[in-house]
Amino acid sequence: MSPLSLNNSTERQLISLCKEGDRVACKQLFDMYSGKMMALCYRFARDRNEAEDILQEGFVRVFTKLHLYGEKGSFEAWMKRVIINTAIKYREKNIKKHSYSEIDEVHVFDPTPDIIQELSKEEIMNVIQELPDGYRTVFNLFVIEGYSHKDIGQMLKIGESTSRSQLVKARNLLKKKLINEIKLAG
Amino acid sequence: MNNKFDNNIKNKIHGAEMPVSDGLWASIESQIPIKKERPKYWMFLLLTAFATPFLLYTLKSNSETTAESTSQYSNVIDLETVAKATTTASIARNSDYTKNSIPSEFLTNNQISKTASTNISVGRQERIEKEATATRLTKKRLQREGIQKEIQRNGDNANTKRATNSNNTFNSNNKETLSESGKPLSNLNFRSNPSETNLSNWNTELTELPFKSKKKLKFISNPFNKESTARNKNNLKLIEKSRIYQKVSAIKAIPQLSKNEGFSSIIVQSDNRINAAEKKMVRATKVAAGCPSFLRFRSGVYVFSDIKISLLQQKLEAKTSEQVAIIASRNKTEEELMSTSYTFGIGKVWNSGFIFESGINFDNILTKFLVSEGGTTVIEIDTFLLPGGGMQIVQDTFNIVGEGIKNKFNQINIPVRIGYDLPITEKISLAAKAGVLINLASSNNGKIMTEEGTYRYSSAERSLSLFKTNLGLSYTGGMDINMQVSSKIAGYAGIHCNYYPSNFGLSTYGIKQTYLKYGLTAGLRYSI
Repeated sequence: MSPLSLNNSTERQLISLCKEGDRVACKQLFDMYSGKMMALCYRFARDRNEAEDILQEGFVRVFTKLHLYGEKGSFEAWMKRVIINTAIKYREKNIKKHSYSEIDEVHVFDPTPDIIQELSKEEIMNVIQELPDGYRTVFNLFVIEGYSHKDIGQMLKIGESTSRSQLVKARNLLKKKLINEIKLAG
Repeated sequence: MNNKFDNNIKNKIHGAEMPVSDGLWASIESQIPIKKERPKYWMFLLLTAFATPFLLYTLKSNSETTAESTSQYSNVIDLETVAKATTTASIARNSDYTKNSIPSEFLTNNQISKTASTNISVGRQERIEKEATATRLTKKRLQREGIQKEIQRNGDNANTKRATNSNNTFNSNNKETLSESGKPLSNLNFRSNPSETNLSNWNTELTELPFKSKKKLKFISNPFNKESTARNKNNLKLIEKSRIYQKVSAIKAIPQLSKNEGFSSIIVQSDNRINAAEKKMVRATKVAAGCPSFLRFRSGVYVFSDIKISLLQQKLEAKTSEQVAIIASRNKTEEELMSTSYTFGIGKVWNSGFIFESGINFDNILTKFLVSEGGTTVIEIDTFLLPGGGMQIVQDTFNIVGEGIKNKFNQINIPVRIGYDLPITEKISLAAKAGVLINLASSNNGKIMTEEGTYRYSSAERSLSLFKTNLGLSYTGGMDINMQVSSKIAGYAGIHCNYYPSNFGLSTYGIKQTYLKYGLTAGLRYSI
């Protein structure tokens, strides 16, 4: 079932049913958002298997915490927030040490927007996937999800400045990888 | 430049989706805890209300079946034995009859002479009455003539004692014979006043009846069948004349007495005929006299008054999908309160146990509206664990406070209930009733949330009434234990359940509102 085929009220009805423990409604809600959330998890994970693990934990958390959703804001945004927190928690639990270590400064030229447009979604996501854990997490949170460095610092228990520097390095490394990708494609 | 790069990346992967493994949902589903259903107390109460009478009936049926099976070889009279014994006695008495003449002293009694020449043209009832009269006269004469001493000489002390003490009962050969094989038929405890019976005796005595067929015994053990039996006019007559049976027994005693004294010709009926009448009356009187309806001395018209204390369940359903949001808002801002209602009226319980009641009912539905005028803020907290043990706190603001105002929906309605009253003992009965509440008038005032997130007054005066004020129907049901505290006054207590369907709501309002009240009832009724 495509999310587009469901209007807002239907989504709310589904959520109400899920709150009452209706498994069919839960399944429908899962079908609606699993694709998007899988892509989200994939950006935070090292590989597909890890992404599915995070997605599984995330959805379990969504359904068990559904009563906390106040139906005031967007459900998708709330669900994203839960999944992202799950992803961070997962990384914390499964990786003893975050890769927030400093790496050599990478100097690259900026790829033009046209070049980025030449790459597909999957190719860009794969490039992001190749970033080190720390870089990838900060980049995803700041660039894709729109969190501030302050929020990222609180979420990851790092300083704001660390978050900023990680982002700069992540961005540079990503640019370099994108150029390589374009070269390979060309 | 970085912003441009970031936006390009973000736009590029915006809305990206990835397929998930087929088995992933199964794994998730297995980890979702099954939500505990809110216990539906009203369902439990209703179930109890309707199941208890059947349970009681089942228990009674079982006890009867058990008693029957255990008493099959001990208490139940074997008809063959009766017939055999009766035939033997009959031969002896008939032979006496042929060679003896009726003493002149008995012929002087007109009734005896008529009875002695009994023929089929005389009705059985009339005949039995005449026989009984004859017996009474005979007994007096026999006593006067000192036959009593002769009986004692024959060693039948116990029976003689009964004959001496009773105005109606003598002993017979048949009784002695039956005593050897089982319980004497005449020892069955008949009552001249049916109201003295009770269910336990009724059941016990049923097992002593000469029904050999389990199926038949079970059939007549059914209280509803017994009622049918008891309501039969012929049976009622038989019950009234149950003492006649005792007189018939006395007649059966006469042959023994007369044989001893040479007065065998006093026999007024053949044994077969006596036994036939006897068996029929045994069956009819035993079944009918033990009927629950004869225990129902409370039958008749009464006035009643009761109070009900109820818990409330409010259910809101959107008529259109646009109204879904407001339901959540209303549920969040309204709280069900305990409600009360008061009823008085008049009722009647028939001998069959059927109940009809009506009267006036003052009813209300109360909820609390939790939103304050001042918009006090309460924070709803959503927490997420962060890496390293930290927590992210999400705050949402609602205008909810602990203090609110009461929303009142008052009704005046006419309850119309029918039911069934099942006697348990002489003073206690179990009544199940159900019916409708015909709404005569209603009013409401209070506040509710609207789609815009503001609240509004819902009183009729402000033309924002949520409820109709015209006629409507609600449904009511319940079960009470009645206890007779005096001949006129009975107290009762029990459980009830009222259902108020959505047709009370205004058709223009987008939400269906249904209410369910369930709780305890206590009241008094006075027989008039």
